[in-house]
Amino acid sequence: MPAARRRGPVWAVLALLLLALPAHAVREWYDYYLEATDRHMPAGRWQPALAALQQAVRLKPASALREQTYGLEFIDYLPYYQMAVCQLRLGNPKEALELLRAEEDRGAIRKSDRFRDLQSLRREAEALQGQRLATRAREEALRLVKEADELAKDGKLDAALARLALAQGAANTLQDGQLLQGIADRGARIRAEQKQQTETAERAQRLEQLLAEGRSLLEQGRGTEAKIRFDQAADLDPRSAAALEGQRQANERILANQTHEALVQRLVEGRSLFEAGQYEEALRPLTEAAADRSLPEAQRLVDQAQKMLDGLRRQRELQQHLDELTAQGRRLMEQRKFPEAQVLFERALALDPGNVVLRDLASTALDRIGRTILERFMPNRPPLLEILEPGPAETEVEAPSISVVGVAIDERGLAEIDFALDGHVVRTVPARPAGPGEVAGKATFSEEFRLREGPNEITITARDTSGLERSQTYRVTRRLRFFERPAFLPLALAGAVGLLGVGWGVQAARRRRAVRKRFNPYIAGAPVMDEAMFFGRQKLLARLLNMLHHNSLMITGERRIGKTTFMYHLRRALELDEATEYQYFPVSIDLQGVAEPAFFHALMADIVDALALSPETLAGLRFRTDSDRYDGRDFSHDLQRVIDELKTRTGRQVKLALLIDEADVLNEYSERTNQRLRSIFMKTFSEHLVAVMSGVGVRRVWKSEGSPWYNFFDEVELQALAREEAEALVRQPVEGVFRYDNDAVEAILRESQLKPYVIQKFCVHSINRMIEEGRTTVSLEDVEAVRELVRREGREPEAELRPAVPA
Amino acid sequence: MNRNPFIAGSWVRGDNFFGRAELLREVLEGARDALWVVGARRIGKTSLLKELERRVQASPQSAFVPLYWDIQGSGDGRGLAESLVESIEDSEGFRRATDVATEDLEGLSVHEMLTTTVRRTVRSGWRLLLLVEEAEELLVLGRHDPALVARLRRVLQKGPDVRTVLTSTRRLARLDELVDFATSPFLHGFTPPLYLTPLRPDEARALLARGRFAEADVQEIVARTAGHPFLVQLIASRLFEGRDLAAVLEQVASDDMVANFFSVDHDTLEPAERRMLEASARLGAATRAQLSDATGLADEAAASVLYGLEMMGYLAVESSRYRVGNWFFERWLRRVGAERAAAAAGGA
Repeated sequence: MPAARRRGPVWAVLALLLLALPAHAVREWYDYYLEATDRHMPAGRWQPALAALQQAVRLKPASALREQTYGLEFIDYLPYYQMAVCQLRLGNPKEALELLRAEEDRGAIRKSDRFRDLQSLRREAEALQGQRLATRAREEALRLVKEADELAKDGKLDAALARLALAQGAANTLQDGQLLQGIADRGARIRAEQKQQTETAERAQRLEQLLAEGRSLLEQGRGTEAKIRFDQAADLDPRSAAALEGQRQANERILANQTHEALVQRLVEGRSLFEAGQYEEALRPLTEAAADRSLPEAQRLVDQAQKMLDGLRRQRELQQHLDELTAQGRRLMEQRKFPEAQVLFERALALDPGNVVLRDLASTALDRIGRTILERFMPNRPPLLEILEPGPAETEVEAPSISVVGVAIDERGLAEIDFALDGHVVRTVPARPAGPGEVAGKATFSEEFRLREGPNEITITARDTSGLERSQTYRVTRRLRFFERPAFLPLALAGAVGLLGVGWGVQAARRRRAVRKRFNPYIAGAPVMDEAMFFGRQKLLARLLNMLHHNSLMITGERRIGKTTFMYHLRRALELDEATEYQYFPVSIDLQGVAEPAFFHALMADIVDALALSPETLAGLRFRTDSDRYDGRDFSHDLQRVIDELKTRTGRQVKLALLIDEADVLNEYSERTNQRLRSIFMKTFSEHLVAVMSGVGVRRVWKSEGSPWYNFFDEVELQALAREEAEALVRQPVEGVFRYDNDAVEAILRESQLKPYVIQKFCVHSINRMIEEGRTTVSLEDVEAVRELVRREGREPEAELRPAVPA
Repeated sequence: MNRNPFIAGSWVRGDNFFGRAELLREVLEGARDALWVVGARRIGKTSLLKELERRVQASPQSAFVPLYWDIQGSGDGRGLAESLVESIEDSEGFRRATDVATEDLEGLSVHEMLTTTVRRTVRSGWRLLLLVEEAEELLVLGRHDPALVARLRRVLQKGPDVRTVLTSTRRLARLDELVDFATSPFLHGFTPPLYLTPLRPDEARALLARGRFAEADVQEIVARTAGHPFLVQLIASRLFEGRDLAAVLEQVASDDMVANFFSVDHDTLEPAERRMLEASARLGAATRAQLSDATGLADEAAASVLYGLEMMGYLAVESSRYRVGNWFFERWLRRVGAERAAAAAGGA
């Protein structure tokens, strides 16, 4: 027992250790989040990224901006947005849209620049979903055509035509000319067959009816009437033995009761009635006279009168038939049986092709079929609303007014746009009326709102022709400028006296707050997306913008010199470039990890992703997301079609700008692939194509006989910053909050060799150290203390510094 | 915003195309139906073909219908056939004019494809202007399949139904030596070649007028580049950005990209031509006799080499004295020569 007692505390310690172990193993929300955004997503591992993000959401469901992670690292935590990226890349647009809605509902993203990305991703997801639905509609149309074929084979022609009407509706929706032609051909065949069948049946029925009536009249001793029926029967079928026999018997009956003179007299009567246009009345005396073969004129006049009466009869029957078909069709329309109604209207139209009313009815039925199908496969969606200004959905301003600039788009037709301030509609702008054959699908707007002090709620609502609407609300808080405040004048004097002191006080308070919140705006590692933190490249950016319309460029520079950041800002600048006759469509492409066989596929995948191409263009491409059998020739084919679509989007000259990062990968590819790349730039359509490649350097070893691709690229080297630019990068991000001693700045510039990445590293760590010690000024000592850490981090593998978000 | 109007690297046509009037006339209005245009790298061969294509397409009077055919990287008969189909696929104008559909050609050999294309073109009332880009690829094709190249020659020289324009560097001249053709040498009929020379001073000036530079700067650029279109465009483009010609000249002279361009260009030349250029860079302005001595070439051989180099714009002649055509190339040749000499001295 004593031994057991001695072991007791040991067990207790062990148990405590075991309990403590999971505590070490517990992962925080940001571990999962960063695992997804920094590791899986850049590598295109969407499924593991999704799983990690789901774990993050389980631990922390609420999105947030500038959320603290390790130590002093802050990130924007937008897990639903990131999950939406994953879902979209996995080909699940519906899920992506739901997640985007979830992220937007949580609100945080509305205050960040990511809000634009969210809108762009939503457009992409909606386009993909539309594409899926179009595929389903096509499959449905093909299925209906197949069913129609089978029904037609079984002789069920009406049902077959109804299926074809549905298929036609679907094909109309897809605007698939080939499919439409196929359906029209089938429909025409079936209708011709149906017409022939109907005519044969009607003729047989009428023949039977005439013969029956003739026989009955003969039995009643009414030879003349019987003869008329048998004549008509013989007209329908000249070889009908029954009709010929009936004619013979009726003739005998007439001749038995009439003399030749009497028949001559009947001929005179008949002729006179015939000439007066009384064919019905003329038929009886003429038929009697025709029984006498010595009066051939009588038979001739009978034939003519029969013909006239037959025509009249047919016309009467036709009208009656048309009325019946129309009434039946209208009933079916009321019952929303549009395909069946359309079949009847088409049948009626075949009998009376010039009938305008019938044509309208058939067209209405087809339109309704199309709408039904459209609703089924492509449900009407609220209009797209793209607000270019203001940026974040919640913002603070000092200006007395704010511009709301944007565009509303609806594929089925836009009705109007409402602008409301604090819940009251202040203006309604009707959409431009549609021209013939088009829908009023798009409207741009630019409205100025006067703001009152405090919160203002601006709501823009776009409404489509079906009444569906989409709204976007901006909460703009206006703070009065100091001179606008009521207390300004009385306080001005006192203010002037106390200004210095107050200024000092405000600044001191701001610094205390910044220290408390561990304010550290520098970004070391990930590409710098924030305009305010983009230093020292503006001149180069302007230079490139100035020459890119005619030249493709190769941006070289050592690792971490800021190439990816530069490419990002170049894309932004190209998107906003409105100054000239060129309209840029920039597409960012990252070649890292792209294997040579997938090269052209990867290029086109990014182009398709970025440009939200129309379903018609997508259908015409050889590119398929699920098949990577795709070579340079396919790429060239598709690129032409992409450029063709872009030309329809703008009146300016189109420039598709491929911004290709990590172009060093091309060094690893065979010369054949490089030659294929070169050949793209030789095509005539390459007048609409510019490329900017970025990488450490092009391997200029070219063994082939012909020209290398880089012949077409002007090379621009991204170098370290100029001294004044580097100093601005050190000082400006914390200006008004923290300060740097001059010798601290000098030390950073010297140690960093003016390289922006190293400068930011020094600044991040120096500021952290300063905050740790509760100061507000960075000293030389801070810089020297972090030097070793910066050097050590500089040796970290490049992979850890990849961009956080691939979208 | 006043955008930079200069284009360094990409091919040009239309308003951006300058000079070459005689050459264009020779191709479009001359009597020869088989033409070979020889030019150094980046001298404007692609632009010439693109301009020919554009002019013919825009001219209602022309009897030709143009087809631009880039054969680089074809590798073999199959690849060549694919490149032809791709060219036809890319040229909607050609397809419209001739009623040739790529589906009709798929599966045929390149020789059959070309024959069919020519036949259809003629049947539609046109003559085919076949613009063959990167004809050096014929060296690769000839090495693998001499018979294919021989068959190709028969169609390409089928004038007057087809007028063929080949463009390449001097390297293509090796084709007839490298490949043992059972029948006539391939280039027979394409020779003598037409040389794509640098721009004449007036043509270079017309191009530079777009930048509204000072007259002294224009003069300096024309002199330094000797009208080499790529160098003119590159310097003009950079001067347009910076307006400091001295800095731009220095920057271009020490630019790795430009050095690489000279190096690749230099590699396309024959050993005797390289020796001649190096000697010329070393000696400065020199007579034929001096260069003949310096290179060890017999006078007649030296004359032939000098003529080719002059026509391609590598050398300029003034008062019977030869010197390297442009200042940048001369500097590069001197540097490379000095490095080689230093390496040889170190090795010794």
